This record gives sequence, C-alpha cells and structure tokens, in this order.
Amino acid sequence: MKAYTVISILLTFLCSLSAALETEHTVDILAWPLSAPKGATLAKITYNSTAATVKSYTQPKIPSDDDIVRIGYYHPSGSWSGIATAASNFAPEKSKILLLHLNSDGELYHVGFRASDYGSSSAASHTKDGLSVELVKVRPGPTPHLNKPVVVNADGTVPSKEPEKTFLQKYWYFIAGFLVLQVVMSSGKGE
Amino acid sequence: MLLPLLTAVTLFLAPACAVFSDEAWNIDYHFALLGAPKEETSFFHRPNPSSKASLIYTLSEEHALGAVNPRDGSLVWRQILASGGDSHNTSFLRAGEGQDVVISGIGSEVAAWSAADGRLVWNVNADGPLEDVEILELSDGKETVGAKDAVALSGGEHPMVQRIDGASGAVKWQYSIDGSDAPYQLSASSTEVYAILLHKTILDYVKLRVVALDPVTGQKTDEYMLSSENELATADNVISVGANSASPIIAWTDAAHTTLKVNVVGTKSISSFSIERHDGNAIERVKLHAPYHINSLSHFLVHYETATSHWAEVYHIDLKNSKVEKAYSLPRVAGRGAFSTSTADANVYFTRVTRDELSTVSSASHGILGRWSLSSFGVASGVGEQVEPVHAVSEVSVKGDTVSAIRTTVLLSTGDWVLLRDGKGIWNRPEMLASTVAVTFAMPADVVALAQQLEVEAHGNPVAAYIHRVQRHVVDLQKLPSFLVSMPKKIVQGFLGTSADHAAGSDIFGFRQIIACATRSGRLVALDAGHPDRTLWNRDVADLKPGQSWRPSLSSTKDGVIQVSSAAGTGINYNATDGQQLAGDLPIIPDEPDLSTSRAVRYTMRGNSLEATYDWSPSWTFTPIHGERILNLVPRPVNDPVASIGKVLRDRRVLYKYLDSNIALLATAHDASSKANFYVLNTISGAIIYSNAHPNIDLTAPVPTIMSENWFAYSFTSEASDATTKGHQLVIGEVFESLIPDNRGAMGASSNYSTLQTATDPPFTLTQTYQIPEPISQLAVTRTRQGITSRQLLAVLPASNAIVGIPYGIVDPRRPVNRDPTKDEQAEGLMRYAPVLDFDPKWYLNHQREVVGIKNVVTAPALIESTSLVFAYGLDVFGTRLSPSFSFDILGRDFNKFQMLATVAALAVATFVVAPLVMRKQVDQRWRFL
Repeated sequence: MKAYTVISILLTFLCSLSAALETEHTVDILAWPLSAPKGATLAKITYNSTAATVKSYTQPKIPSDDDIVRIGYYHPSGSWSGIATAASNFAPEKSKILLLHLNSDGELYHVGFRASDYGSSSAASHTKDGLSVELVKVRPGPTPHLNKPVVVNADGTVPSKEPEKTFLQKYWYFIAGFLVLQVVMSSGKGE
Repeated sequence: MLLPLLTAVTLFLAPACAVFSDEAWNIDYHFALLGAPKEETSFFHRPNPSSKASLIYTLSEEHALGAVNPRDGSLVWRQILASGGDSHNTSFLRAGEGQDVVISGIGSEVAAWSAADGRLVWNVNADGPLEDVEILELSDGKETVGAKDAVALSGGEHPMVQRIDGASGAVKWQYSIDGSDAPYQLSASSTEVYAILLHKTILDYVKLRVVALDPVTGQKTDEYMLSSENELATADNVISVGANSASPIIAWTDAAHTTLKVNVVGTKSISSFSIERHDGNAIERVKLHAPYHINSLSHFLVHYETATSHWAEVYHIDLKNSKVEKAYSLPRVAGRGAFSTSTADANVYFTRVTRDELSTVSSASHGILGRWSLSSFGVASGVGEQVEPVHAVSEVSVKGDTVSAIRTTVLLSTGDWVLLRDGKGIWNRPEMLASTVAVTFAMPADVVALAQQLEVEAHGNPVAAYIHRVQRHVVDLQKLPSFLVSMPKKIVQGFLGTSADHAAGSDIFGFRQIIACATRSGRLVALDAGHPDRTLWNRDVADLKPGQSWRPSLSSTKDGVIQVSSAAGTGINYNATDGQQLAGDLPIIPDEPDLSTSRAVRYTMRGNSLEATYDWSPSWTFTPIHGERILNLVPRPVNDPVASIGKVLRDRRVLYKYLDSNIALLATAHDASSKANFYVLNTISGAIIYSNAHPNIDLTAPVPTIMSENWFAYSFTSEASDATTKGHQLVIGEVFESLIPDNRGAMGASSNYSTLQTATDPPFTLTQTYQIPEPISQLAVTRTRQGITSRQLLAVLPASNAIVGIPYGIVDPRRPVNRDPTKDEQAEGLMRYAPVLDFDPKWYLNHQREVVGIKNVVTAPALIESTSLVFAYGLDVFGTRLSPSFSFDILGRDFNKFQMLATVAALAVATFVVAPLVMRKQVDQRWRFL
C-alpha cells in the first residue's frame, strides 16, 4: 500500500515536472506592409501552452503611404496565416499586445493584434519596447448540462428516502404553545 | 316563412365550413418530385395483375424510384435509392408481365419492390457494379406461374451473370465471365440468356462477344464473336440490345451514322442497311424502339434524329430464317420527336409525339390508327422557345382499326413531365425542379414599377412631378371599367371571407414574390410564391452540353431583376416577371456605389484557406493548421436588419448585442483526432472573435452552421466520451458587447470605430448546447423586413424528411441552468434550461407530408413585417410563409367580414327595438318616485 502511494506521488511529481519543462516553441512573427514585397520580422516569441515571452522586437518600417500592415507567421508547412491591422497601431506611444491563438494541443493556429494608448490598458507583463504577448487558448466547446444521475446503492437499489415526519412530530410546538396558552389563561381567570 | 330561414341557413353554411379549415394546406405548398424520368426506366405497369388499372413507374435521374397515378399525376409511392456515389450512373427498372413487383438495379444492388405500395420484397448485392438487369419471362420455354426470376450482369473485378429467384432473392446460379472483356448487356430469348461483352481489338475497335447461357443451369452453351469489322469505334455506337422478345437483336452504326447493322442474337448473320439522308444535317442520334414482350411480333422501329428534324423506319424480323427486312418508314417531321412502343396481345403499336401532333401506327402497316393535334403541351417556356418532346411512354387500347384510348407521358425539353390522354394534357409534373441548384426570391416588376414612378415624383421638381402624377392617374383610369366589373365579385368574396390571397389583385403583403430556380440542366424556372402550381416562365439560360455542369448563383440585387452568375460568366440579368433577358442597352443603375472601384475587403476560400484582399492587394489570411480542413463558412447575411441594438431586460436595463456586419462563422475539421473547431472571424481584419473546439465528433455526419444578427448556431453528431454522450447536439452562441447590463464595454462612447484600429477587448459570447433527437443537415433562419419579429431557426431533418422551425426563445443561451428562472427572467420568457430539446410537433412546417432530399432552405422577407417566406429545395420543393411572432399586422383567414357586419347589424336592430322599451321603463320609474 505504501509503495503504491510513493510511486503515485513520484509519478505526479514527474508529470508536473514534465509539464513545467514542456518544450518551448519559438515563432517569428512578421509584419508585412501591404506594399512591401515580403514581410520583415516583427518579433521573436517563445511560448509553451501556458506562457509566452517576447525575445526580441523590431519596430517595423512602414512606408508612409501604407495604412494597412499584415501581421502573421508561416506555418511549419510553409503557408501563411495572418491578420490585417492599421499602420497607425505601430506608433511608439501605443502599447501593443500580440495575441497568439493556441488550439487544444497547444499549437499556434492564428495571431491577433491589439493596440491601445498607454494608460488605458493595464500594464502587461513580458513587455519589450511596448510589445507584450498574450496567449488565447481555444475554449472547449460547450456541452449539454445534463441532469444529475440518480445515485444507487451498492446493491443497485435506489436509496430509500427518510420516512416523513408525522403531523405531531412536525407541529408539536404549536400544540404545546396552544396548551400553554390555555393553561396560562385559565390560571389567570382563576385569580 | 320557411324560405327566409332556408336562405339564412345556406348563408351561414359557407362561413361554418371556413371555420374548421386550417391554414396548414393553404399557405404552404409541396411538390413531391422524382426527378427527370429516364426513357429506359419508365413504363406503364399493372400493380395488380387482376385489375386493369395501371400506374406509371420510373427510376429517375435523381435515383428516385416511384409510381405515379396516371389519372392525376399524384405520387403513389417513392423510394430514394442510394447510388453509392459512383460515377457509374446506370440504373435499371424492369417489371415482368403480370407481376406484382418491379425490380430495380442501381450501383451493385438488385432489389424487388412491391408494385402496389413500394415495400421492399428482397434485395441482393452483386460483387461489382451492375451492367444490366433483365427479367426471365420464360423459363424452360414456358411461362412461369409465380414470381419471375431476374438475371443480373455485373462488372468489376469478377464479372458474372447471376440468376436471382423472383420470390426470395436467392441466387439460383451464377456464371463467371472469363477474359478481360467488359460486360455490356443482357438479352433473353425464350430458350437462352445471352451476355453481350465488348471485346477490344488491337486496333482499339470494339467487337461484340456473345455468350449464350442455359437459363436453367447457367452453363455456357455457345460463344461467338460478331464480325463487326472495324466500324464499331466505341460502345456508344451500339444503339440497342433488345431483350425479352421473341428474337432479341443487337444493332449498331458506324461513327458517321451511314449504315445500320442489325444482328438477331443467337445467329451470326448481320443485316446491313444504309441510312438515307433526308436533309443536309448530319444524323446526331439513332435510337431503337422494340417491344419488351416475349409474345409480341418481332418488329422494331429505328428513330433517326438530326439537329432540325427526325424520322423513323420500321423493320420486321422473319423468325424462320432470322432475316431482317424494312417494312415502311414514317415521314420526316421538323423538330424533335419521341417514339414509344406499346403492345396489346401480340400486336405492337408505335406512338409518335412531335411538336404539334400525336399519332399511333401499327407495326404491321403504316396506316395511322389515331391522330390528335397538340396545340401546346400546356407548360411554361421561355419567350419564343419551341417546347419539344424528349421521350415518351404510352399505353394504347385499340378497338378494331382505331385507337379507342391512349395515354402518353412525355418528358418535354422544358423538364416538365406531362400526361396526354387522347391528345389532351391531363397533368404536368415540374420534374425539372428536382434538380434545382440555386434559388432566389425577387419582387415582381409591376410592384416595382409603381415604386419607381413614385420615386420619380419624389425626386423631380414639383411641377414636373405633378404632371407626371396626373398622367399616371389618367393611365390608371383606363383600368376603371375592368375594376368596376370585378367590384361586385370582390365585395361578395370579401363578405364571405373567400377572397383571401387567391384574388388576382395586387400583392400588398408581398406574399406573391417570384422564386427563380436554376436547375442543373441550365434552365431558369420562375414560380409565383402565391400561386406555386403555375410556373411563370422557364427558359434555357446556360447552353450546356450533355454531361456538363454549372454552378450558378442567383441574386436579386434590384427589385424585378434576377441576376444569374456562374463560374464561367459574369452576371446576366433577367426580368423577374416574364423572364426576358435585360439587354445591355437597358442599363441597371447600381443602387450602391460600385464596389470594384471603392476600397473594399473581399475574401474567398482558396484551396484550404481563406484569403482576403483589401483594395486588390492581399490582406488577411486564415490557414488552418496541418491536417485541418475547412468544412464550411457562413457570413452574416448582407441584408440582415436588426430592429434593436440591445436586449431590454425586465428591469429596463439593456444588454447590448455585438452587431458587426462583417463577421462570419467558420467550421473546420481535424480528421485525425476527429475534432471540429468553430471560429467566429472578423472578416475585415481576420481576427478571431471567438473560437472553440469539440472533440469526438462524427465528421461523416453533416455539420450545418448558420449566422444571423449577433448569434450563431451549429449542429453536429458527437461520439460518446467521458465528457459527452453520444448523440446529436445543437449549439447556440450569442455575442454581446458586454455581459454587464447598460455597459457597452470599451467602445461605449465612440460613435465610429474601425476594426483595424480597434483597441477593445473581444466581445463576450454566451453559448449553450442542447441534445436533439435527430441529426440536422441544414440550418436557416427566417428573415423579416425590419427585423422586429423574433426569429426562427429552420432545421432540415433528413432522418424524418421534415423541416422544423425552432423559435429562438427556446434555444436562447441565456436560459438559466440548474435553477429556476427568477421573476425577471420569467417575464422575459426565459425558461429553465433543459438539456434535451424535443422538437414540438407544432414546429414541423411540413405537417404530415414527407419533404425528401432537401439540400437547402432560402428565406425572404415579405412586405409586411410579421411574415417571412420560406422555400426549401433539393429533390422535393416545399414552400410556406412563417410568422414567428404570429401575424400581428394582418387579419387571419378566419376573420369573417360578414359575421362582423352581421353582428353590428344585429346590435343596431337590437338597439332600435329595445330603445322605446327602455325609454318607457325610465319614464315609468320617474313617475313612481316622484
């Protein structure tokens, strides 16, 4: 019995250790102004399923006549995924948040971008030159909220309900109170 | 004394009948269709050998097997046969003489169906795809008493001939065909079963190999090759292999259609006839019509067709020496024609249907036994289009030397299937609608014309507008006499409550919209939603070659105009009322600024990813990760009016809806892990607003999705796991700006914002899942003019052949879970959440009808706010009108003007009668008290 406990504790520890040491992924996020022939690296980000950090950030060079910049990354298969955002969001006075959308296996499948003036947003961690990164994990799909199953006894019978109290058991104090009142009143009359 | 009483009683009779009639069968319509019947699988047959009544059986191009009552064209029964999804699109339908079953062959399955009610008697699966199915009329040279056996020829890896017991479906014997020759057809004479195979020579020509089998034992008795020399280039030139006649024949032509060769199966001699040319056009098609009965005379008809005309020749076979002789020919007639063969005892009759005539001849001589002129087939067609017969099936009864009765069903070039009795049209079935691929609603042009005129008056200068208006009224005055004539009738109808919407007057409610359906055969068919029985017009819009397909998309960007676009060509506009093509010199003024010049974001699905362009340069891209494929994408409808930007709670606070016209729901599937992902995307920036993942999904089942207003819905079939139960689920998600009432989130104060420059937190999504009793194959939502009316989620249930309209309030994700609703929630109509959503019988739009094979449901707003028009298509066509919040702006059919007026009149009379009494009483009272 003790051995089992020890082993299970050990296993739990190992599991948590492996979770902590989960492989870090690195991804290059590119910024790609619409007129540019190809994207330039915006940031290098390392992430695992629980946390992400900005390793480096390069302020993108955006031609002045471009008002839209694509932000995205290349899949391991070589295909591009990205979103579009306004070029004005890269102004140095804005705080920028890069969103990494992770699927249920912790894989990156899409990116997002938010920028806001300083002060309006809370001070985000992992900031580097105004860029912070947030992980958005895909939510598990909603499931029906099923009714609670009937719990049966070991022998398969439905547990019997507690026997209901009789009328006397329930309301004895009313009767007692009434009797006391009667007694008090009658004794009062007697005087 | 009695007379007035009687009149009163009769007057009340009509309204009394109207009280009980439901709207159910009045406002909705349903065509139970089969699809275009195929010539070789359509015939008249008596389901009960002892009775004379026959039904028309067909196995259509949509693989629907059914029986149609020739009296009124109603469907007696129908079975949808699975085609197995292979490209091998052959199907067979046979009925033995005097048998009460019909035998179908499709894919690799041979099945027998009870002819009277369509119940399955037996079915057998062959090893390979079926090449032919025949019925053995005779076994051992004499007619069998009980069920007749079937013979099936199958191809594939191990081609074989099987004899199947007609009563039980057991295989009596099978003969494996050796060699690599492709099986082609079967033919049965009174003594032998012949399997005809195609043998490829070294020079790539085709030779016919005939294997003769003993019908009793299945042993090979003979085998020979027909010396077709080098004239058979492909199997397409084999015109016919007759079966089940006293002397089955094989006939073929050379590629140029110059000679016709005929061989009586069982002999090796080949008769050769040169084909005469009647006009300058090349012969396009040669067809052979032969009787299918073993006792019939061995005569056959060869039908030649050129682009502009057709003619036929009748041949006789001398049974003794198997010689084929030409007997007579039927003259050339312009246009296309159809021939059908019918038999009576041993006699054979050929019936010819041309554009304007129906005639019957006996196979023995060319004397015409009956002739009827056809003025028209009574079907709608395009302007200036000639309706031509494509193929025909007839049932003839002959007395002496004349035809006493003839019933002919003809498939027309418009796609209609009509029945002619003695040359008169009895019914027509719009079978072309069974292959509808795209549908749109359009307002009729006459309604639009008034709106346009009013617009002219509104925008012109006052004097010109006044003159215009006077002119319009003068024009309107011309209609006064006809209006006056129809007035009394209208008033009477109005009184009796019988006018309803059948009156041919103007359509003030917008119920009589035009439904334009594009069919797979390249035709555009217009129906009137108010009078669906009548096809308005039916025209060929895409000149498709046989076997060619198109993927049209229909839209009605402007009232009265239907725009057809397909992958090949850009939009062509048609007038919705009469189907006239709007020529280039009639410019359509775009209501909206031209999108091609403005800076717009467009997105398309390319390969397995979504790609967007902004100002024609690439913008956002959504590529699913490796192994994930896009299932479907539904954007919020372009025309999706929303009356209220928030949900008003009971305590007068407001939950603000997240209303963005540029959002779309994308569903993807990861096959390896059987996972489905659902993403709500912003289609301007490509950002993800909401995403979730469902594990353990049956990805072979349909995953329908829908998006409207600020909510989305999808359905799927989940496999059992620890977290979920096996079953079908419906998920609803509603997106709010904030879940705190009266709070609009970070965007609160700003009146303008750009999703590209957004600094907001994502909106909040409430989701809820319901377990549903059966799968949903398609979702749609009702649409009304201003979006005030609550919505209904329309779900197609393929398992029960039904469409249900689920009120949105029932699936609202705000239903409280695991607790009873508070007073406030109750007042809002929210009920306690229940995990199982049972479809209420009242939700079934189709009532007790079976709506089979629905592929899509389209909705359109009527002119009155309460009502939405619904049209479902696929195999069947079904349409109705829905009032999700009940008809609050229109009087129902049960409203009886006569009753109302009678009540008012009765009250008036009562007042007049009672008034003096009351007066006297009051006066009396005053005297008493004073």
